[in-house]
Amino acid sequence: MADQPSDSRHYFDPAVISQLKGLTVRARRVVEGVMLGMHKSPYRGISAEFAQHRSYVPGDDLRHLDWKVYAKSDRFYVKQFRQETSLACHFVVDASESMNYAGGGALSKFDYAATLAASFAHLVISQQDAVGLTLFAENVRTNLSAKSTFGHLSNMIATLENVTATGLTNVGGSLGPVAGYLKRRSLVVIVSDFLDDTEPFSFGLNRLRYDGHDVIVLHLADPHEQSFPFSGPSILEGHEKSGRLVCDPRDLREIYLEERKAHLEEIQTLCRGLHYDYQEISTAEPLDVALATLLHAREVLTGQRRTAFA
Amino acid sequence: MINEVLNPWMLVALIAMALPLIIEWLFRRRRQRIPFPAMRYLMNPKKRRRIKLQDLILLLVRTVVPGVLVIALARPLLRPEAGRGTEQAPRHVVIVLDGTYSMGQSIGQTTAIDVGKSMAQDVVRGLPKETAVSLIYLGNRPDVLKERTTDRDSVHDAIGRIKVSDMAGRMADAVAEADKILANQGEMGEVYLISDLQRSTWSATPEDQRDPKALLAQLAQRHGTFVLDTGGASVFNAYLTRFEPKERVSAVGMENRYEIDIEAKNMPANGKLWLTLYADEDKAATTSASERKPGKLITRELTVADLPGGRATVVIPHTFVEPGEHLLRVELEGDGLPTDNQRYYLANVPANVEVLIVDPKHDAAATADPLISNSGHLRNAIAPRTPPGFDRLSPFAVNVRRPDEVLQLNLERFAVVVLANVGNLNDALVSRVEQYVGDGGNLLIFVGDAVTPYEYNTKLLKAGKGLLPCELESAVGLTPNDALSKSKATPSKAAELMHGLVFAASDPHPAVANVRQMTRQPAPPSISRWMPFKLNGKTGEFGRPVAYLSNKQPLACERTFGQGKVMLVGTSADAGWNYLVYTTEYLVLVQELLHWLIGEPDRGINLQIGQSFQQPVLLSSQYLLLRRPDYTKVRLAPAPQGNLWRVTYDQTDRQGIYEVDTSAEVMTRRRFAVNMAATEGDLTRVEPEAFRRELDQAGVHSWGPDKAIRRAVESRHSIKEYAWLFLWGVLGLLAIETLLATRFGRRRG
Repeated sequence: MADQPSDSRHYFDPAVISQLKGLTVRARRVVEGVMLGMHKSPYRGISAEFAQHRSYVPGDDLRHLDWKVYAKSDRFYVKQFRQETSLACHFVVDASESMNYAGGGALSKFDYAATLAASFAHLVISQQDAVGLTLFAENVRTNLSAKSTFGHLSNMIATLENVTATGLTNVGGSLGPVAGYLKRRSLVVIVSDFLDDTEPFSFGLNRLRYDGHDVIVLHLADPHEQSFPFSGPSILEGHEKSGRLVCDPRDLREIYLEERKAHLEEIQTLCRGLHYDYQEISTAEPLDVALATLLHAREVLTGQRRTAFA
Repeated sequence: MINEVLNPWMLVALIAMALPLIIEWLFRRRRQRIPFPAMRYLMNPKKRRRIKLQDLILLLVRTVVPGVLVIALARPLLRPEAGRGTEQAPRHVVIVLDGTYSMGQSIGQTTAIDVGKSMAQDVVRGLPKETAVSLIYLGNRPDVLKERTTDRDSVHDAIGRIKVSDMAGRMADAVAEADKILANQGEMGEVYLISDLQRSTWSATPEDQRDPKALLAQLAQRHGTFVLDTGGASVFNAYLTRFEPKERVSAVGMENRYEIDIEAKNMPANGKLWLTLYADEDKAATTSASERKPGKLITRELTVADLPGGRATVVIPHTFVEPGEHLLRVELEGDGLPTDNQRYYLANVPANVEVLIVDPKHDAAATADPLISNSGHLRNAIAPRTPPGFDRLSPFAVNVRRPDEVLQLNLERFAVVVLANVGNLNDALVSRVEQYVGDGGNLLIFVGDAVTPYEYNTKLLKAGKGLLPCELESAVGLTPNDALSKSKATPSKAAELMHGLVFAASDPHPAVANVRQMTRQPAPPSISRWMPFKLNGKTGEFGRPVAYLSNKQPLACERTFGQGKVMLVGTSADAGWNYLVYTTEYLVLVQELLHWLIGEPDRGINLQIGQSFQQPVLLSSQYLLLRRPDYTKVRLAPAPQGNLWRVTYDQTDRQGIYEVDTSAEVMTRRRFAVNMAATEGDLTRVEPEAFRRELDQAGVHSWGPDKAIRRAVESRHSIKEYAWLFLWGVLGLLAIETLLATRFGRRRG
């Protein structure tokens, strides 16, 4: 570890991560980065945890009476505990052809998404929470139900390693089956480049909302997709049968950026309407941003659920 | 349009226009292939079409820039059609200026002729220095003021001196004249016709069928032809067509009624005209202030109601108080063209018009009733006594003499000599009378008992060569007393005994035209005895019948003899053969016969424009100086004619008074008035749009009054280089390209 830079963000740099072979190694590396400097984990096991005292009122269960406090203060107090529940986190990862694009980033969008999913799964399973995975393109290609075992993590990483991103993108069409797979309320993390129409996607999100799932939308974008930096006479060849264009990209840059911005705003508006988190992530950005988003969301969700006092 | 370039070989470089296309093509060949997933953002067809259109516009501008630059370097020229080589070849330009009197019409604050002159000056100013110019002025006929001169100053001077004519003219004549001038040179030229486009100038007439437009079309096939419209509208114009006295023979103290014919065109409903008669203005100007006799002014106001159908005849009376020659001028005011608003009349008014009655029975010392003589009634009829307080009735004064006294008289002072029943004619008397009539005197013959047909036929008829207008025969009929008593006895035969006077119904002789209107018709039977006559002989017709008896036999006849006229009445002047002398018809008849015999003594000095003035010169054959109304002077050379000298002047092209600078002893009538024929009084213009269309079809250019003529002529005649314009064009196009490229987002740092 002596040759590693002191900056913990080094662990999340896609350029660095891309040098590592195997998703397992990558995930472990990322998790190490996350754990580095944590002296006290907020996640202390699954047992019931003391929360506070309150005055006894008739009818309270006498088992919860704190006799020690009674002995000291001659007053009746009841002990309250925070109830812990296990989190089911389900990754829905786009494995269409367009996710293979790695124009300006060290990782392709799919590699970036896989690393992110594996890393987060590693973290979550370490906390004894369950993680599931769905890969989709035009339809759902693979589905792994949420489990909290390390064997399941290996299985999930193997699935992500062995899949090849191919086929058309159909996010909206794939979310319906995903909602069917989820047996309990879960945190659904959708990772895609969203090069698809918004309307079916809207239907899919509404379905998840109806089932009471929490959703985080991670919009992956290659730096070239974000800035459209090409110049000179070119032939632009689209993925997923999206056509071919002979042009000088400089002439179209303004139009491109306008159209893209409009599309992103459409997705953002949709998510905002459903109170879902949306985050656009460049594949050139370190993974910690995405992880922090996910962790923050997990904390919020687990916090919300623990507010139900026993 | 640009029709030549100085460096035509430079145009080869127009191939440079292909450069942007080649560059575009080369760049396209070097395209790179870029796989890109987010194509959905680039596939908006509307926006892509916009981009393609912008690319096309930019490519077009970029293609045009080298083209315009090459044209600029080739140095484009605008060269007139007749230009040859590098220098402007001189050409012949003919300017025709319409000077007919309609050009005097007002256009705003100026007149059409001034506008036309200004246009002509502009044409000359716009021509290159060496251009030969001819100037034609169209008055009554085309007048070539300048022919093929390069002295522009003299042309300007000639244009400046042009005044509107007092005559109408035909544009066809001017076009023909211009064609003639250009045909002589046999080179290409240009014709500029400047006119107010008045219909009468530009239309064919029954007398002249040539259409100016057709002539212009022919001219335009050989030469550049332009019609320059001075403008103007169909303005209100009133004009005088006639100004004459009703009584051609007048004398001092007698009321003269002057008839003035007025015509008005385009008169507005609230239009007014003021007609004024001025008398003796010339005398008022020449007499001293203390004796000033201002011309008499009589003004009449005329409205639309006074001019039904746009025409009216106004009668203004005037009485002369002094003998001599009087100048009368009538003037009309209130319309848009003053040129045709006045007319002149020169009247020679004697104290009396002398009439000599030759009466054998006359006795100046006799105290008996004058009616007993042959001429008593006649004398009263010729010069009736004027009642006190009335104007004079007759201009005549009668002098009665016996035949033997006639030879001692100067007959020249008598307007008419009357032979009243004169028999026993001696040769001296006959000769004297023949000389008098031959020199322009007038003779009236009444027959009677003393007249012997044989003697008259022998001495006066002379087989048609003498004075008599007929061959007399023996008198027939009864004396009036016998006829009256017989007709009372046998009323059924009264019509055969007494006859009335009859004047031909449809075409009466001019001598009795007025009598027929002024007397009773049919006339009462009053003539019982008369002397029949034959009007034809072996040598032909002696004279013409004037009046008839009710039995259809001619009673009066007339003929001309030399410069005078002779009339014979086949009954007596007294009551010996008729009761006519007791009727009112007698007075009217005698007055009218005398008026007709005297005719129009002022006719020779009251002329229309274009008529010639002719007067005898009594003493001298030397040159005479004629002062024209336009203040120019002309020398007149008397020419011999018979035993007299005469001067003739036919260049009467200006309205006004012409005066020969000499004394009364040399010429009896030294002044003459010339009036214009108001044939252009109707100022209606040709219909401008249709006219312009016709001209365009014929290849004739038409320019309106708002045309910048000098600049237009300059542009036709001067070579202009436009390289600078194209260089500016290149800069402009580059600026546009930059602007568009920046606007379209193609200008990248």
